[in-house]
Amino acid sequence: MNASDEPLDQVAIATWLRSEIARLLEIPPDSIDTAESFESYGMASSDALFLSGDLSEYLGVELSATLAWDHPTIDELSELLAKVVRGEIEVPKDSPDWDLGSELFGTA
Amino acid sequence: MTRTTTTPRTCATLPDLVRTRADEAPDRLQYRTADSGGELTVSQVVGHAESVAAGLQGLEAGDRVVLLLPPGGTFAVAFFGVMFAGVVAVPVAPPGRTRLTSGLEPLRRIAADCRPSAVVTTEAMAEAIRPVIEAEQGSLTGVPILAIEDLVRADADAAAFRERGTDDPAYLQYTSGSTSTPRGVVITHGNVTTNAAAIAAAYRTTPEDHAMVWVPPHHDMGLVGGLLTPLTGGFSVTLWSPYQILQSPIRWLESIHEERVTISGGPDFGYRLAADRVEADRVQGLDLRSWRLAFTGAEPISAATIDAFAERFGPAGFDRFAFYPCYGLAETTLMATGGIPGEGARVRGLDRHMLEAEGRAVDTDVDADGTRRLVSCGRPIDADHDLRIVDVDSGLEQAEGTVGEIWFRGPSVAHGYHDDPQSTEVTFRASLDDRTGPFLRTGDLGVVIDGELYVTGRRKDVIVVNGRNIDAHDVEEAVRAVVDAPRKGQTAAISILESDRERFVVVQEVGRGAADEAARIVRDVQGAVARRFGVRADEVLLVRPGSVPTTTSGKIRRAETARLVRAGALTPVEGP
Repeated sequence: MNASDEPLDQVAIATWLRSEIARLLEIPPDSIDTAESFESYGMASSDALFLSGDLSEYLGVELSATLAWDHPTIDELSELLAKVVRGEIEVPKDSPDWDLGSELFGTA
Repeated sequence: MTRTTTTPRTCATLPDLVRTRADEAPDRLQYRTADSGGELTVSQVVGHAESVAAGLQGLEAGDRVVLLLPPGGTFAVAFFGVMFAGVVAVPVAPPGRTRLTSGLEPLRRIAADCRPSAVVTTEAMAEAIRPVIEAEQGSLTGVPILAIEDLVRADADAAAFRERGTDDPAYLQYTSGSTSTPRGVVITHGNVTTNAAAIAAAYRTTPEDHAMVWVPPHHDMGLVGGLLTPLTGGFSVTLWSPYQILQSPIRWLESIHEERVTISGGPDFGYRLAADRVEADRVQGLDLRSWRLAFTGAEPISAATIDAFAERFGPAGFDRFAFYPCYGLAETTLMATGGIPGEGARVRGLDRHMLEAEGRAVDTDVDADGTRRLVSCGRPIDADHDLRIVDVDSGLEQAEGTVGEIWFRGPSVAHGYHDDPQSTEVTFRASLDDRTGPFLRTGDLGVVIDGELYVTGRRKDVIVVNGRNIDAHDVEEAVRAVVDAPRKGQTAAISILESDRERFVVVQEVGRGAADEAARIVRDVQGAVARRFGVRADEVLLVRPGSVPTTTSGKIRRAETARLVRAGALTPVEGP
């Protein structure tokens, strides 16, 4: 979790993302280009889900499972999340009837 | 005390099954969708499915209808709608929202193989997909994309239901994403009603059970285990998306706690993930004592995973004897062998050298060096099913304790692959040397000890990652496309079964001078694999030209490559 009371800025989020992705993919942090897609480093679908789960914990907000697919670079993702932290935009949600098990029918 | 629960009646077709259950207990909860909280009783499933069938009028018997839907009650309604219409369902994983053009590739390949008459999806997906398909010329050109929201509004009274028999195909189960030969296993009504009934019996289910399943319904474990076994056994199930569970595995355990779930499970990787990623302090406050049967299958079962999971969740009341290891494949509908509820996972230590070099099972100390720990997958699901271990060269059945290919026969075994008589003949029509048969050749290697099956390896060129089958040739093709031409050497995609897990290794030959660029080549290989399959290799091994063994005709010898990697006999190219 975020230890300080200062809201996290884009640089801090990008730094966290870099070390987390390096750990997930078992590659050196300084080999990651922040403008390159996660996939080009071999990030699997399951890694992308883990990343969004860990990000949710880190930022203390619930994030969509598919976040790292929808914003697939450190630059893009950190910019978006910095705005979320500053309260400028809403937390991106999964489209209810897209990736997740949505339901057409009401309760019984 | 008088027992009022009767054993649910056996049914020969899926329409018969769902209608019988609706007659027996119309208002019983059948499917709860975790994401929306939506609930469907059995009679609601029938009612909505009848509307879907009415909306699908005009199809011929045997026509294929693709189901491109997320997990949940909606999928169940669409599936039974297709059954009532008397046509063949083809469940396919929905594409991701952001990269539709590449995400539709599996669907394109499956459509090229089975030429569907329609695709049923959600309204939102239909709107996004239609322009992509209209802009291309291919297997989906002209195929109507129908929204389930529209289909359920059709007038059910207008439906003309087509009766199907036990030997008619119910759905196609596609098993791997192979480019050259996508294989749709033809599952008949008889196959699936038999297998689901055998699973319910093996699990000793009662209508008081409640299941939770997060394996998606385009996977055999999600469809047969998640949707159809609960219906057969007359108990309810909560359906989750795998995305939700992988993002935050604690949700699996919380769901079991909150809903007093008695039956749940998944492939080995799900258990490993939960043991790895759920922190000890989150385990406090969970009560998992209701969980009586934890099935694990669809990929090699690791004794280490079972230990780690039991250790992590034991404090929350998880009973390690709830583990229920099983073995099966798409070609057997779902389950071929399984254990006994409440007995847990039987782990055996076998001498690795004797097993791999001599093909013989010799017991050793479970903790000794050179021991391979194997988990028993139990016995054939019932007396109607028959398992043999066979020496493939001679066709002779092997004695207990000797490794061979696993052959299987019985009413759960599919009739063949869709529109592929050649592969069907080879895989489904095998005979022993005394002409006993036909048997299904599973392509897996195993050994029977004290009547129980232990899976030891694989003959077929398939790599299993997170319960998903990936064709080795496809991986090699994707990798070769990104490795620079001047140093293009042999590529081998192999799977190594170890005690703790299956390892997916890509071996790539590289020329002199490539050492400086080793890191970049490894990255390119991983990138190609991730883009094409959404998975990552456990290891990319760069080796000198001529290191990968081939046959005289130049074909890669994958099993031999795997043996060399295991033995450390392939020298990696040194990095800078």
